[in-house]
Amino acid sequence: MHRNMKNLQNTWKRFVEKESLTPVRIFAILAVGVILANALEWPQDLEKIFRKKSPALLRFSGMKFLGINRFLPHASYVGYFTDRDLKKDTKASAQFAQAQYVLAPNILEANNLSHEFILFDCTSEDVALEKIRDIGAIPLKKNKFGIILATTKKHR
Amino acid sequence: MILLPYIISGLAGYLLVVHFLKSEDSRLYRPLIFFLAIGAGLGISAFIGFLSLVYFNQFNRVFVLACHTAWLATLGFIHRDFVKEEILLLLKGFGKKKPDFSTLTLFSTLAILLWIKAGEFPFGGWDAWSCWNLKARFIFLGGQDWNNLLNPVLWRSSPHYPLLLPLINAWGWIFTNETSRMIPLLTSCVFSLITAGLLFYGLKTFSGKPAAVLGALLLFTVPFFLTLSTDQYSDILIAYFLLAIFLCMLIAKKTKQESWIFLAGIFLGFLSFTKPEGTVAAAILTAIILFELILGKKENEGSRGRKKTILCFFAALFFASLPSIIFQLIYAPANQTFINGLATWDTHQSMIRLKLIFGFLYVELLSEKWNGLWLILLAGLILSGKSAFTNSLRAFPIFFTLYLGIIIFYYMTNVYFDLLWWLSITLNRILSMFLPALVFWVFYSIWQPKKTQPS
Repeated sequence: MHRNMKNLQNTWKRFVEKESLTPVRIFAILAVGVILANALEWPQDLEKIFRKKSPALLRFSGMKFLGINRFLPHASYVGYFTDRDLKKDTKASAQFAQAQYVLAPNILEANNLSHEFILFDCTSEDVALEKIRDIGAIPLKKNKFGIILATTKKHR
Repeated sequence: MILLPYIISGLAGYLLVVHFLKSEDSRLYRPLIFFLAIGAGLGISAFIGFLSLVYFNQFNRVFVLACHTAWLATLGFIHRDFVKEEILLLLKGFGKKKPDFSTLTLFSTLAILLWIKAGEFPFGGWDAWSCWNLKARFIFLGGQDWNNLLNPVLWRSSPHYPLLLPLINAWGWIFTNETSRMIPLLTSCVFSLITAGLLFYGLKTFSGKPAAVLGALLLFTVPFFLTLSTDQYSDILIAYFLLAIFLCMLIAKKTKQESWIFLAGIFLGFLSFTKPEGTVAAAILTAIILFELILGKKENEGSRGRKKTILCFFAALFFASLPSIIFQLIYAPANQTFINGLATWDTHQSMIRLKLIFGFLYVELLSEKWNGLWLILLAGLILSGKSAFTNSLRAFPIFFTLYLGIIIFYYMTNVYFDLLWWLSITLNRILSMFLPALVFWVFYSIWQPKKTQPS
């Protein structure tokens, strides 16, 4: 054990004396170490990506609004009603933003019920239909995700 | 087909670059020019797209395609001999000697990793789809109503942000004939790859030492950096243009050719059209380049030569900044997500805010997600000592200090957002913007050729 330590010390001494271990080389060794550590992290990282259960497209809740723009005039203003709190509920806020993304170039205006067309994205269909009745609108289209497009009577 | 817009833009950029550079320079810096050309070309495509918005009040696909064709035909005809020579040389090179397989493998691996990473979120990060890709959809699908994207109702998508990235994506969609999610994804991959290329060949060309390329490997193996760069944000564009400008400045100093300053001016113009942070960076760099031009050439050039170079720089900057200038003057609405904290200045509250910013910065830099990258860079900076602050490299520390100062000042004064939330979603992206240039600076300082080091 003692002899081994001494050998190691001698090797180290020779290494330093020959200027094999300059600060720049220490830095290079450190950098290579970090690169290797990064490389070792990659398999885990990739596995995490491949392991995700649902396909990436389904995780984008904006997909719920696909096809609705066929019923809307080009680049029009559309009201958007939800009974969720857009300020506090991140999921609801994300869904609204993704709906805007999918329906562009139409402009969605949150909780503005004065437009000719209004999208109802509520926690339940009953809530949506009740609100539609309240404002005197007429439902035009409902998709499989429960999103209802309605139009206000006065513009009909 | 999906790659066609990037190939056309790359060719347009290549012809622009060889038009202004001397043929010796074009050969000497061939790999760098390849990566500079793609970025410049995508900038030109966005420029043409913006012209269409201004002139026709819509994204006119025929006009955009016609402009690209005219650009390629005109410059291709002027430089037909050079281009022919380069193609022959390329063919000969492949016939005579083996291509550099190790570099090819490295870049192919990176391309695959980027593609997989980008595929994790095919619509990009939150701010990507709600801001950049949303704008691109308005431009591409909106017809004459494209400017709906500036409507204050869309305050969540920052209507005041410039349009370089959305215009590049809209250009790509011409070839898919729909708003394919593949184009924004591919744009982020292309910019990540060309940033890696610039860093790799920048370090290889300038230092001439193989160890220097460790910098490129170090940065582009950090999984978190790759996540940020493929999240379809505009930040990777800023990172690319910053590095491109610094490299052009260094080559200009080395070759004393004003054409490189001209190119730096072009990239500065594009940088100013990326994002408000890019506009700020462009303003700082303009001041630094001007300062360098006035002071740096005093000894070896007459005032006439200096004036010519400065004029050349401003001509390029003005030309490439036109979209940015027109957008800011005519189209951009006011920033609705800004409340001036200076109006209600409270020294005690401001000190708490400042402490929070520095505390968060400290935690962010030491965060595990960066895999010790910032510590390595700090060690490198200490190790390089005075070499990092020589005349040829002083632009880097001046820029980083001023830029960081302005960013901290903005965090201090804008009280619209909850500070901690705001820092948590933006600070890492801001840091990632200047990482490629920072890595270049540190690694080049350590491995720069002896003659430029101070005695």
